[in-house]
Amino acid sequence: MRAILLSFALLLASTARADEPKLPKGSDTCLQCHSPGGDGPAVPPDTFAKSIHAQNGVGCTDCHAGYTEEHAMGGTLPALSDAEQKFVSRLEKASWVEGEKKVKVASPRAYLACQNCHTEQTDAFAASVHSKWLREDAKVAGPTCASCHGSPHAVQAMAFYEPKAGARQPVPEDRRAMAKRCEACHGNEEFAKEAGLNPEAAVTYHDSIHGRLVRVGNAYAPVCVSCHAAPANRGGTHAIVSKIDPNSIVNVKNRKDACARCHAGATDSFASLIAHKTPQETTGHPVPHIIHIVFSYLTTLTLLFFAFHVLVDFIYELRQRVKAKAGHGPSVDAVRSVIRFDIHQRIQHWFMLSGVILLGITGWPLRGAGTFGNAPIIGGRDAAPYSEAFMKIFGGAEGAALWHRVGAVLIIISSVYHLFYLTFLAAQKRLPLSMLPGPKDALDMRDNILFMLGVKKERPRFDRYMYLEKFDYWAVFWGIVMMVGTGFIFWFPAFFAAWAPSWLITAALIIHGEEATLAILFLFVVHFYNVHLKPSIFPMNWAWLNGRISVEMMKHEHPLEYERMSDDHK
Amino acid sequence: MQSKTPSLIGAGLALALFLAVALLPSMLYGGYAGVLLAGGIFGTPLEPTFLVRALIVFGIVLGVAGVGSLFAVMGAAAGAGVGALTSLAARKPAAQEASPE
Ligand code: HEC
Ligand code: HEC
Ligand code: HEC
Ligand code: HEC
Ligand code: HEC
Ligand code: HEC
Ligand code: HEC
Repeated sequence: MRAILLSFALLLASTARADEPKLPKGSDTCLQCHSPGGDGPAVPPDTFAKSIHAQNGVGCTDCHAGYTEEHAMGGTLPALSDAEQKFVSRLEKASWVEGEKKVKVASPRAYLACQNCHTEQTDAFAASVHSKWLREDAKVAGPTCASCHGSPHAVQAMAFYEPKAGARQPVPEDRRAMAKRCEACHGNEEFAKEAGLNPEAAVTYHDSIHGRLVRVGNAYAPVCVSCHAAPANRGGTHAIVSKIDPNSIVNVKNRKDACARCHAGATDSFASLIAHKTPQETTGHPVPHIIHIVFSYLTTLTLLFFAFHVLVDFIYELRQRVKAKAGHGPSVDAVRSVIRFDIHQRIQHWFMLSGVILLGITGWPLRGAGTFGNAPIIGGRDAAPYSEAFMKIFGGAEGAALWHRVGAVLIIISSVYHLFYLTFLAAQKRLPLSMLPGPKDALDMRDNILFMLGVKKERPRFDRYMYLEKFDYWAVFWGIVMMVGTGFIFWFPAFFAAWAPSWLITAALIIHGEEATLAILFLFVVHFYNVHLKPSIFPMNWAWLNGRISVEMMKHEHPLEYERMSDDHK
Repeated sequence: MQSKTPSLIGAGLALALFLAVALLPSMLYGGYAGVLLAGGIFGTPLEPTFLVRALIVFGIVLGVAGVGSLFAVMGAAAGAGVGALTSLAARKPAAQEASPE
């Protein structure tokens, strides 16, 4: 009765909406019981009707061969051959953990049918590492067709995806969705360990340059199958084999072909830059390791010291404020000023500052887009959505990458200008040797800190450049060499990988990220404090715009230079 | 040199914007920088020891201070710019009045 009512309802529904996708012949019989609310497990008719199978007239019994209403009343299904029976019983035994609950194959026999129509794929799959568990007993159950494609009742056509270095192709949405399915197994630590697989495969991918690019919304950066699918004419993703198999596309011998799908001219040494490991471990060479450790210490200690310096300075400034007498009108010296930086120096600084800010705000969101895992304090959180949202200002991740290069050009212009400028000064024997650091700077630094702490009564007397300014200058010198040098390598990675050993390139990647941390935090915290946010200077030291310094400030900050200048005038 | 008021207003507005949209991400970027540094110094996987936590907190503080400073400086510079323009506009008529004398 219920079935009749249901079919009546279905009939009404289908006449009411004639343009609705039609179900294949015979399916309505099955759906009498298998629609939601029926006696049997539900197969949503709408979803099925829209699936590529129903659209191509593939009906229930094309896959569920031999099924009639009988099975609901304990009827028998057609007999299977020994091989088929073996295949089915392996599928019957299999189970996977999905979240909290265990799932099993609901209708193992149905998988026998796929090969009738998709021989190419089932043959490739049958020879792949992913079907090993169907050929021999295994500790864990690997994937079925549905593990990657989702329910066969809802299957949609896969988009065309065959990226070429000359014509890169955005990763289609279905491959992104599929990457989540790969990760359901390969990103599950317990599963991976039980299967004897690398439990870090997903995490290391997400933290790699590619993973982070994907996380901030780059449309072209690879997902799992971009690298792992065998060439289309050799079975594609169905033909994934162990990386030690010479047929594997990620086997050491073939890996460059996987990279060459997007990177023109990829060589073996280029290909060894990415292998589901942290950059310092990728090549197995000690240099990247050492560099990673050295830069971690360098960055941490430098920042600790200067954070301390800013703090001491700030407390000193606050104490001065409290002590300052009211009604202290502007003196003549506060109005009179002298030139401190000429126009060339200011132009160099303008290029530098706009370049560095641009580099910082386009680079950091990418660096910060790694996975936090279960790291202390920030574990379980994710900065990538913020990065992606922020990068929209630059036209998305690809736009941000472009602006990053614009920033690089700006600081390169600044550096080249500066080098010419220095050469010119040198030719005139006017090189500002006052910028060279000397032992006095170390003593000045100690005395200044002691002074600000209130231990010493006298402020050390600085010359034209005090130690902070010298540090700013030389840190930029060093930073530019480091950042431009390593950045260039990543601008043209395949070119450099053609002749440079891969550990050198990996070292460059490490330096680029870690030196950036140091540079940006130093500039935005320490330099900005010293020239902008320090209460006595706020909103800024105007010298960067007009090149001038007030006589009062000069007497206070650079007494030795002031005295020398006054002597010259006498 | 000039009145500090426009730049203070600019910096104030920028800091309010910072608190509204950028505080959390800059904590995360800074904290992640701390995590990476701690990885280099103490080795991975990170154990949540006191020093590791301290370094991550340090990273968070620097991240907030750095991005906050960037906002404040941009705001102050914008404020100073607006201030300079308005004071210029305000001074002009005065100069014209003064010229015939
Ligand atoms: C009279 C109602 C009814 C009709 C008609 C019916 N089924 Fe079923 N079917 C059921 C019930 C009830 C179950 C659950 C049986 C069980 O749990 O043992 C079921 C289970 C199934 C299963 C899952 C279990 C298995 O053995 O694989 C499949 C697949 C299936 N039916 C396919 C079909 C197909 C194909 C048709 C159309 C040819 C169909 N059914 C028609 C009632 C029906
Ligand atoms: C393209 C092949 C294909 C077609 C067409 C197909 N099925 Fe299935 N069906 C499968 C496969 C494969 C499974 C097992 C899925 C799994 O659990 O991995 C399945 C599972 C089922 C189940 C068990 C679901 C459960 O949750 O327990 C039912 C019932 C079923 N199908 C009914 C139908 C009905 C009714 C139709 C027609 C409307 C149909 N199928 C069309 C392949 C197909
Ligand atoms: C009776 C033939 C038939 C059977 C049996 C069958 N399919 Fe299909 N399948 C088709 C047809 C026809 C299409 C649509 C045209 C095409 O892409 O080949 C299709 C499409 C697909 C697609 C999308 C392919 C694309 O173009 O991107 C997938 C995935 C798929 N089937 C999986 C399966 C799985 C899994 C099974 C077994 C559970 C199965 N099919 C059983 C006929 C069949
Ligand atoms: C940029 C290309 C690339 C991408 C993207 C990629 N892999 Fe890999 N994968 C490789 C290479 C190269 C190897 C070989 C590593 C080796 O030799 O140690 C590999 C190895 C593996 C292995 C073998 C285990 C091991 O020893 O590390 C698994 C599993 C794996 N990848 C899964 C994935 C998954 C899952 C994804 C998506 C989340 C993914 N891969 C994304 C390139 C890639
Ligand atoms: C490891 C994941 C995975 C498994 C398992 C898998 N597929 Fe696919 N399948 C894909 C991907 C990805 C594509 C897109 C083309 C490619 O990369 O090979 C695809 C494409 C297809 C297509 C479209 C034709 C083509 O090659 O482009 C068919 C049909 C298909 N699969 C059927 C199957 C069948 C049947 C099974 C089970 C035997 C299966 N797939 C198992 C990932 C998988
Ligand atoms: C149902 C779980 C499952 C899913 C889903 C799955 N895999 Fe696997 N994968 C496995 C298992 C299990 C193995 C190991 C098989 C063995 O060695 O016996 C494996 C092996 C591999 C290997 C070979 C590892 C090696 O030793 O070199 C690669 C590469 C791989 N999978 C990539 C992928 C990609 C890419 C996807 C998604 C398109 C994917 N897998 C989806 C379970 C899964
Ligand atoms: C699906 C396309 C794709 C594949 C496959 C691919 N990459 Fe990339 N890769 C990208 C994109 C996109 C970028 C971002 C920079 C760009 O646009 O070149 C990138 C960036 C890189 C970078 C950072 C340097 C840079 O240019 O910014 C390295 C290193 C790299 N890939 C190495 C590899 C290696 C090694 C492989 C092979 C194991 C590989 N890639 C495979 C798309 C791909």
